[in-house]
Amino acid sequence: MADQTLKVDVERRYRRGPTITAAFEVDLDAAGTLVLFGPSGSGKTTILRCVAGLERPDRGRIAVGDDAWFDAARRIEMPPQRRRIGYLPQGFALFPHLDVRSSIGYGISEGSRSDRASRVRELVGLLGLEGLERRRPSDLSGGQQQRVALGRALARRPRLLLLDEPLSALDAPTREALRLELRQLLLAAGLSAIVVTHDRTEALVLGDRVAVMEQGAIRQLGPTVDVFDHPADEAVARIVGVETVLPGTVVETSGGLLRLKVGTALIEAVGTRSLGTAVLISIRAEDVIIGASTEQRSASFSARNHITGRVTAIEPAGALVRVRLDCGFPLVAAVTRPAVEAMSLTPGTPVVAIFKAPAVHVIG
Amino acid sequence: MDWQAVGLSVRLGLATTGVLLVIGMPIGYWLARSRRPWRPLVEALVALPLVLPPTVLGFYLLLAMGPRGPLGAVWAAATGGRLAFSFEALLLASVISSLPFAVQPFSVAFAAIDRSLLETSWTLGRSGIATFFRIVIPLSAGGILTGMVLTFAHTLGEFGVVLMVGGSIPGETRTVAIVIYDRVQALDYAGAAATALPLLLISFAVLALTYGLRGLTVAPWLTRR
Repeated sequence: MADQTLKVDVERRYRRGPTITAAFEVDLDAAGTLVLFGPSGSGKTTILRCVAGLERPDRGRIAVGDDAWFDAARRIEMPPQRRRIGYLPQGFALFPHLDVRSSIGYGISEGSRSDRASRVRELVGLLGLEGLERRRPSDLSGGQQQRVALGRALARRPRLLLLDEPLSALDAPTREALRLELRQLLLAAGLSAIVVTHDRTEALVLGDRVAVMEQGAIRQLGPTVDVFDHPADEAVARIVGVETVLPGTVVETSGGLLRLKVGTALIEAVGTRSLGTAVLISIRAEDVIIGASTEQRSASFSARNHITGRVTAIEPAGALVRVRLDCGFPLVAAVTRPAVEAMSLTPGTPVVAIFKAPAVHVIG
Repeated sequence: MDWQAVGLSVRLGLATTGVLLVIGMPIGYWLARSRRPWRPLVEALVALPLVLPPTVLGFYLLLAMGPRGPLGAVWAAATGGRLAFSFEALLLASVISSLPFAVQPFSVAFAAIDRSLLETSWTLGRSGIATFFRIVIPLSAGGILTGMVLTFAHTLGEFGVVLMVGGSIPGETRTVAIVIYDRVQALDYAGAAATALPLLLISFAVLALTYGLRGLTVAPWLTRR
């Protein structure tokens, strides 16, 4: 069995523009999704297009085992037609003159007419598009368009799926609903996929691994949870959306625990640093519990950090509410709406922010 | 009513349209997609017949097609015949003078196609040529039709170039426009009117039919929203 690992190591330079570099590997035999995540303009789409063969890198190599898709040194450039990829561009790029059936069947060139028709039927069924076969894109909803585009990409049995912002062309409720559905579809297809997104939740839901890109380079690459929980530096922490990134100083250290002065507060964290070290800490909003300030404290919880403060703002964010706190330093807690109502939290309410020492990620 | 002249004009119009469909589409596609630095030169060359007096174009074509001109010499070597004042000369001249009428609408229609549609087609395994036939042409149907109609209508109405390179040989180069001119020269206004009126009606009918068709059936996805 030949090596089925896609190795990408490329550089794309733009005149009077940024230089974009990326190096990563994707095992084409194992189903799994690598998310290229970062703000717009960070080079995610460029890298995806290089892999698709729609953009030519200025340097580097893209290969599956010994099969070079692109090699600048050897002047090899395999056209996109021969890379056997399923590509979903931003906005789906459905062919306006083709109905659902013709769109999905567009890339199938092998097999008899009845083979092709049955493959199309199979995908129509898989994607829940029954009854819409004769519709043109202009008569489909955004979610249906996305599924047609996915079906079209899957029809010729690609060995790699490349999805560029697969959900961003949809309105917010549809996007919400389709996120998990897309994840399940990717798992069901049993394919390797590279997904470009600037949306944090999408990255968390879709990615088995995530590569965080900023200013044309991959800043951190690893299992999604690792990257989100342990950003490698301040830039990554800012991009992956860890809500609180703050400077602190180590004021006490004992047995793998640190006591840090952050703003006017003292907090506990796990780690080993020498006394007096200046560090950055990040705390994910999901890890912060809000307690009523009257509650009996300290002994009744295992969590080590109980910091009094007050609510400064309350911002709804989907199913959750982001509660901004002033605890001697700014902190954000993500809690459910019923919780906000039950505790009647409003700006000014005195509260206790509770979080475990291991939830404080110490950077630097 | 000079039916021979009408027939010749229609034959010339159809032939010119056919030739320009074949050579105009690649030129139009290239102009729509290319980013070469010398693209403006090609663009200017294609558009030249729009601004040049037809007699100037006809004059140069006549020089080129004469027995000592490069085109005439090649033609003589290949066929043993004379190029100037033949139907073939007329066709060649018409193709050149109608070039912008075909290429510009083609090019505008091609340029309007979202590049991501083409790219997606490539990633689905379809070659550039297959993509052109399956995506580009259907989505440019309106523009292609416009270019063809304009070419046909312009060829019917062309006078200066025809006069220069074709002369007035009945059944060979004597088109409707030439007939009308000859009649007026001979002060035969009734004869001129008898030929002019069908030309006016044919031109109007072709244009009306085309615009009607384009709105209705040729490209419903272009109009339906």
